[in-house]
Amino acid sequence: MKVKNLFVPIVMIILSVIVLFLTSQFPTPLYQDSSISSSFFPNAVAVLQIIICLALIVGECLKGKVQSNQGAGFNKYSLFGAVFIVSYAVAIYLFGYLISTLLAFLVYLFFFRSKNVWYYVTALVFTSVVYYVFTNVFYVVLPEGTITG
Amino acid sequence: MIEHLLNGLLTALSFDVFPVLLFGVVGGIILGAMPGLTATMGVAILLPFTFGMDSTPALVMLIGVYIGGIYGGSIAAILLNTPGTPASAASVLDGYTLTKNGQAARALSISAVSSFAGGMISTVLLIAFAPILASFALRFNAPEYFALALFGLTIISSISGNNILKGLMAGMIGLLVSTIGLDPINSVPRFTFDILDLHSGISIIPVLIGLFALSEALSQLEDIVSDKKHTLRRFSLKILSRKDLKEITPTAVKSGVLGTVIGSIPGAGADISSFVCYNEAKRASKTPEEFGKGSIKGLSAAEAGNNGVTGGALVPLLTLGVPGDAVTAVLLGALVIQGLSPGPLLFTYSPDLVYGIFSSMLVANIVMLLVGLIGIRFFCKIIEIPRILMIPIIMFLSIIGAYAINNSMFDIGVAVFFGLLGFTLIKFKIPLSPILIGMILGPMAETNLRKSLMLYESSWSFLYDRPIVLFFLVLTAFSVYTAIRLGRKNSLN
Repeated sequence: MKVKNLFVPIVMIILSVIVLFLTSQFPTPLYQDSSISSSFFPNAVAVLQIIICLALIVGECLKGKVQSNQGAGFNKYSLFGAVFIVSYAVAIYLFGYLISTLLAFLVYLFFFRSKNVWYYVTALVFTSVVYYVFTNVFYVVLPEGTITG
Repeated sequence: MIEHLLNGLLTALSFDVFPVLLFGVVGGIILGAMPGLTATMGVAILLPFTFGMDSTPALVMLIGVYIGGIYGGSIAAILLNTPGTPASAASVLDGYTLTKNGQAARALSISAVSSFAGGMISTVLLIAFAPILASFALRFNAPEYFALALFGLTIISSISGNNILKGLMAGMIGLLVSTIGLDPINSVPRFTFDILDLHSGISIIPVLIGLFALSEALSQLEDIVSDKKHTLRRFSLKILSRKDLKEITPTAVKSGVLGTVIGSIPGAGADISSFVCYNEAKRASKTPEEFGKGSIKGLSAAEAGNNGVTGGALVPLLTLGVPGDAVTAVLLGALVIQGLSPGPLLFTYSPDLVYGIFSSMLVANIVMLLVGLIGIRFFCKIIEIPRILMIPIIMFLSIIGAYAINNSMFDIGVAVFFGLLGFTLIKFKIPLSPILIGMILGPMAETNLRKSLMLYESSWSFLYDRPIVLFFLVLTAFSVYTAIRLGRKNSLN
């Protein structure tokens, strides 16, 4: 039995219980044309999810000896990637597309200690080309940022 | 039909459409050729570029990416022993052996010709059978659509890999996410927490961008340090001979037909098809011992088999509105963005578009063959593009793409959330496609179940007194039974 294999099913069971609680709070509509209400489908999914997760947990427990030292295997690069994506999303909101994309690309290249000048040129060209294509060809107004906009 | 097809061909070759088709095919080949970048990811990344386009060039470009992406995956498989996409895993067996023997150009040209044969056969069969199936589907009402959605949900069990329960768990996540927003019948707010953006539900495009592009980019980031520059062997630039062509033709045709049939079964994608076709070619061969040791028939079968899926997979999407796999689920998103609802009525209301797609597929396959043969020397260079540059580009395009759908910062948040969720689930070996299938088919199942109950005044008798419903329920039961049997067999192995 690998302890890490129990993590997601347990989280899903907790979430499903929360869903069951929340569905009980749904407002009742004035007219109910069908014999099943708005909460029927989410309830059915949550109950099925609990059953599936319990089956996964039981299946894992039946495998025997506990191997608790098994991590999910995130390394520092993936953790950097996760923080990088979240920070980029926040930066776009604050500073808009142009500044945050160029800045994020440079931070990324610095993180990987890239010394290739062409990579930095690519960052500049990519940011500008995407901006030009979206605004002038597709007429999509890219975010300008709450601070800089 | 012939008139629509000819009009479609003229459209595909027009100045407005042909350049985007060419861009799509070449872009698909380039993306597919890079190890780790799949055809699904390619279509998801390029989807935002179609927002400002008309529906025909937009869909034509994405279909070009799809066809090019499946072929492109074989380039890395043949040259580097690293399949660019899961669909090309079977091509490694003989393709890389040919490269090791100094026959890379021969292998790549066999791959291009076989992919072309598979793709063309598949498209012709799609053109022949899709309208028939669509006219049959016009008889569908709410109960039939509910039963169809239920059957569609069994795809989850077949795309779940070795662990069906994990796939089902992911499918339930998708179904639950699909219930966020106003309830489709009574407009009761569900899980909206008074957040206005949640009232219209979770948009499918940011979810798929997060699940298939961002999470993959994060996974690729982990391998970036071990990314050694591949050194290619010197090889002869001699492409396939007339004798080779004669030898592979029967295998390619047979695999193309088999691939189309497999592709039209919801849940069975190009990866399954290429292995099934490879095994079938080996079984039927007089020299099965040559397979795996550089057999051109083996390579041809795998290649025609995976490209044969391209037309087949569009059958359930265009005729029934049910995506058969992850790529067609993304294409469904593209149709919805263009304000079109895939299904039988698409053939009635937008025949020009449907036949435009069909004709473009024929042209896209020809373009793929020409680009594939002419660009052999160039493709050897593509696979050397450093991943360190590709990953941030994928991330930025994904996030901008998620924003551009509705000019919404909320959608960026959704894409980032699902990117992180997808990456975490990959770590726990939980498949991601079922989430998307659940999100697409959930509303279809719920809405039509509730409509059916209203139609039958709260009686569930529609489940047994309508022949088409019964047919789909039997298919659903059979599909679940087969998946459980296969799952048991896999776990025993």
